[in-house]
Amino acid sequence: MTATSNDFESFYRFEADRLYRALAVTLGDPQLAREAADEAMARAYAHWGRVRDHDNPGGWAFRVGLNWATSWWRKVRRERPLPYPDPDAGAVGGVKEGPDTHAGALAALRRLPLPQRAVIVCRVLLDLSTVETATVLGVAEGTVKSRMARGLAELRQSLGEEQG
Amino acid sequence: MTTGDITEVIRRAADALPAADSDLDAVLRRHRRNRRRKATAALGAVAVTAVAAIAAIVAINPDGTAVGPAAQSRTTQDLALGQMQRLPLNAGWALGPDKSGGKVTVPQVRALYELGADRQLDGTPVPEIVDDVRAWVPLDDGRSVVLGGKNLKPGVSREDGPDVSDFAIRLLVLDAGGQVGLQREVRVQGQDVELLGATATTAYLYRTPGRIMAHDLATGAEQRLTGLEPVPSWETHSLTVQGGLLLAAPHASCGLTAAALDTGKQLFAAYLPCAATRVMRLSPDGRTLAVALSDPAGVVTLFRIDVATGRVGTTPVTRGERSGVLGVGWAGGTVRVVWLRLPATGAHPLSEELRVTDV
Repeated sequence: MTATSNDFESFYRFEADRLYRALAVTLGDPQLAREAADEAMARAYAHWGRVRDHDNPGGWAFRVGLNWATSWWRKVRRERPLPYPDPDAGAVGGVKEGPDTHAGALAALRRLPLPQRAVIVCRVLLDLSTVETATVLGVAEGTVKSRMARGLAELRQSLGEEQG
Repeated sequence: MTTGDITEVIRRAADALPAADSDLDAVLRRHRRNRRRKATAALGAVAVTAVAAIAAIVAINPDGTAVGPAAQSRTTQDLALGQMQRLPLNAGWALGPDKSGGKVTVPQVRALYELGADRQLDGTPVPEIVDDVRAWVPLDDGRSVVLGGKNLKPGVSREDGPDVSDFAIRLLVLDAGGQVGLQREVRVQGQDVELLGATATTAYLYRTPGRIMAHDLATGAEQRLTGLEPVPSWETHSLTVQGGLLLAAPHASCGLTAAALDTGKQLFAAYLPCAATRVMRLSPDGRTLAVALSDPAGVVTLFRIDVATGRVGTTPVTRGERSGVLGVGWAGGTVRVVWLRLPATGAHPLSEELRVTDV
């Protein structure tokens, strides 16, 4: 194994699971997220010489996976089966229904517009700053702030109602 | 709830998702496949034309059954049976591997599949003037209305999105033999467009932002249907037009509503079990909507919804075996449900795995 592939393997082991979960929450479809995460990682490997020098390779991979999964142009060609539900799982996306209503939280997130969801995922799950989120998603810092604020307000209401 | 509470709930929900079931080897295989695909892209453009030409003559199932353009038999056999609706099959979901590792295969991916009156799988090759099929609607007269996209500059990188250049969205009408009888560019730069339904004279197109247009197939003239506004967003709903009704199923719930296209009057709102796959078909008299779905346990059930009252009747189609629904159609008062027994490990031809139940 070469130094490059060792380097990439470390990146993969550190980021793959987090990337998949971030995409699954954003896309609301774990199967599509798995494909998107694999595609993003494959592209990172193909361009690893450049990607590893990126300020935020994990954020880069998230952006690539998100673009791949939501590409307007290619969406139909990639149309895939709905994730076949696990009979042992809860109702939402194969998530185990737990006492903390994880499925309810994911459902509340899915009701947000995709751009708001992407910002929340970057800030909360990928631990990116406002500036990093703006760079990853290709929007202005002010847009990140306003999407974050609106998204959190919606979630506060949805989750509050659920608890109430 | 504080912001901290909300972020904690999000983190816990993400952690509760099932594991990705992928590994580094899968990523490296994907990388190699991408590389091969790039290398063969230029050759593929030539090869696919040749393959399509061959496929138009005949396609052979792995079991030796001929699967050719469906229309020759359709026009004689279906009409001989009387009122049997054409029965398109939504097999796309079944082509990926199931969690058990099993999957089904079709003779060719670039084809429109339906169940023939003889209960056999029929395929009509997709013409090369589109790269993909966004939606298609079989008409009772044997024709098919198809919406597909066409990349006019393959291999040339452009900014993706509704403004992308050199990309066509074409509305096609295929004759009963699968030949292109009409093709029309329906893309408007900066907008997206989807095919929701069609009759012998009209295609119903959804155009962003939130408009349904009646597209005259003969002239191409479009009329905006204003009786039903605001139209539910296609980003949050599955939308279908059948028999003058707009059927809307929100992605975020398991509901289904029907509204009259011309007046916007809501006819019913039904709450069905959440489904892994769902297909719907309005009866020829427009009185009953058949909805076949496979539930999270993999059991197929047929629901008949009385359009006037919203009353729902339920009939189980499968019991105890993991299955998924492919299509539904009417023959008089009988509903024909086509479903798939989810295969165990290995690849299985769709023609062998599909089942037909008349209810």
